[in-house]
Amino acid sequence: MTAAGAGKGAPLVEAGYRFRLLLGLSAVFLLGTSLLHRILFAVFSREIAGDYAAALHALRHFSELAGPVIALSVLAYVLLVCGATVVLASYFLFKVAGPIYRMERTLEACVSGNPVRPVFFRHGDQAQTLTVTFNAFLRTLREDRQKWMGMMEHAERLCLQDQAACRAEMEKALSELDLLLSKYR
Amino acid sequence: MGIALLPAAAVLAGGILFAAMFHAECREALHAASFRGHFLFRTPYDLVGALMVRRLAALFAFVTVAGGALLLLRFRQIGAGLARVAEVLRMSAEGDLSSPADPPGPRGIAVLGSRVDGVRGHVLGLIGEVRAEVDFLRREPLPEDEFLRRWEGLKEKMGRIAP
Repeated sequence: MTAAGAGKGAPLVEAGYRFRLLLGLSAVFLLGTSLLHRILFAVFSREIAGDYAAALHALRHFSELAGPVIALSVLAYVLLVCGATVVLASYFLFKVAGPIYRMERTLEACVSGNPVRPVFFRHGDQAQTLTVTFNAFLRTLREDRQKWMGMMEHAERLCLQDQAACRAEMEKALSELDLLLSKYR
Repeated sequence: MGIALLPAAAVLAGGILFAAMFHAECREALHAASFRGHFLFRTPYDLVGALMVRRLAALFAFVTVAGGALLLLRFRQIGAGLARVAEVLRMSAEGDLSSPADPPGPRGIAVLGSRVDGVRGHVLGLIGEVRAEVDFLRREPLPEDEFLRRWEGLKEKMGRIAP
């Protein structure tokens, strides 16, 4: 595969990954809703006993109590489900953020002039197309640099064979280099 | 990280809606029952159970659909931004180091785009130095020792590209 075509057409985030994330979230929401039902069921299932007056009083009292009970139950539901959702979503999103983070470290190394290694993947990482394309860009740069260096070294070898034609060979190499360098704009 | 909070926001909104609606309906049902002459139930759940189950089902449906839709929408935006960055890297491999990435989507992707642009600008700068030196060596009639010194300097400059 050419560097220019690296990763072309491949999805940046797999459909299966998105499906698993949505399935996980649905499971969390379902568990949370079941839990909320259990709490409310436990509160609303208290038996109303006694005569008519006692039952009437219990109903009125329960009606007043319903507000705080529902509020507290929903608060517990929101805290639990939000917590679980954030943990689950963060776990899944690290599969996208991880390769991007590693790529950013490599970009920083590039700018600071330190030796650069290709960005690596871990099992299940998303956004692989991006890092594959970045690695291909680095590879192209290195291949081009090797080509330019090779051209200069070839001229140096010719110099060793024929001192008289040395300068001419070097100037010829410079002309070819100028042509190759014009690719970058 | 903000993307993880989107489904949580849907849960919060769903919870508030559920609490408000269920509380109002529950109070109404309990009040209505208290005005009836005959109490044909053993627990308040017998009165509001069906209503509670309907509201909980609506809560689950709302949270799942809204949370999932928000998440997918965000993924779409992120995907569009990453696709633009990948496209720019492909263009860079073909030699275009100057067109700005300017990716759409959230701020994090814009930062990634500007970092990629930074690297491309850096590489273009190095290549520009090499090109200027090549031009100078070709144009100027330098003495032999000066030419060789600059020739070595040119190799050193090339070595700085993607070390």
